[in-house]
Amino acid sequence: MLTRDELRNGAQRAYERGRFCAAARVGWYLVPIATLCALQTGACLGCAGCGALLLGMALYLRWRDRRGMSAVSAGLAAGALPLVFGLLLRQLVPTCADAPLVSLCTAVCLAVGIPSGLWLGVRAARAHVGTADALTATGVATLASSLGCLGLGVAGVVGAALGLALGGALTLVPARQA
Amino acid sequence: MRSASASTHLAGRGATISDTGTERRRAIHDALVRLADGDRSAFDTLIDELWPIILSFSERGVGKSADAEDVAQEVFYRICARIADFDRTRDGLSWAFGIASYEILTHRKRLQRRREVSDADALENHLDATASPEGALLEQELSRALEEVMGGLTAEDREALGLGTRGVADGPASPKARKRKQRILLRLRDLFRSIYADT
Repeated sequence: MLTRDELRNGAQRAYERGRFCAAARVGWYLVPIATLCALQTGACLGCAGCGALLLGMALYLRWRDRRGMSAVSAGLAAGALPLVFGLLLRQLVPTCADAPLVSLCTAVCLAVGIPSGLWLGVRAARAHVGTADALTATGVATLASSLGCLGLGVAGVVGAALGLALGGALTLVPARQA
Repeated sequence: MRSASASTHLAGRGATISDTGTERRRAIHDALVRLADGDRSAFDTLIDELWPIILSFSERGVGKSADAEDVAQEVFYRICARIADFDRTRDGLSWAFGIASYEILTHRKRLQRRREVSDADALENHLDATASPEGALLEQELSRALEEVMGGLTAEDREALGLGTRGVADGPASPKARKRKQRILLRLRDLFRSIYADT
């Protein structure tokens, strides 16, 4: 005969396992992206580290609750543009990899990061997402964009991250004050 | 820890599927939504409200056996495991019933397969009994006798019985063919008796 506690414990184990499986589905996107980053940029260690960090963060957030799930989805969607752009720029302008922090490459990455940040901010403002969740989504977007911009060196990563933060702040701060 | 078993304690609330009131349905839906959102404290509500219904549903689907509780438990765990995919725009109870129906159907199919396998095993055991030296000898003698008797039939007769190269003809046999088959079978019986009447 099944006791209530046994039923509860079993159900909770099944629930956590189910949540983890649902959260782990994000790996289908992130692992190929990290592999592509490593193949394109040659920075295997950096891509593996960044990819593992992003995967760990996405797994935890998606496993935790629905808010985390939507933050990861929004962050990955916002980070997709700088990610693709970073990989393309690396192929088109290989000299960007050795560019200094204050350079045209950084400015270009910043310019690409801003629309993504704006989109993230508008989305957060419309859905009345809390500041913590908006920041989490920005963090995920920054890590995702870093995977693409790693090949452009520190300048690319910093540029994209600044762009994302700036874009997000431009829409979120006025929305919060209103 | 509550000592009473979950089934008796909760089923004692007299839950049936048909009398699931709107309030209860809403409570189940809310608990599912909360769990889907990641609120682990909704487990107690889910156990209180949904478990008796699932148990009752399983008893109807499987019968009041020990299996019913196992199936209900399996269904309940499956629901919990799939909560992350729950679409909040759908009715929670209907969603849970969808999973329960599927599980009960799977359980029935599994039972049916097991029964088929055990029947096949019984047949195999029966056939194995003839695998003894005496059984093999009898079988050998029988087939020799049958061959001898069949030798007394014409090729057309054998074809008519479906023992020829063409096998049994598809479709219903005509009255004429049936009559002929009957005549051949009678002749076969007479032949068998004429040869083996003494033995």
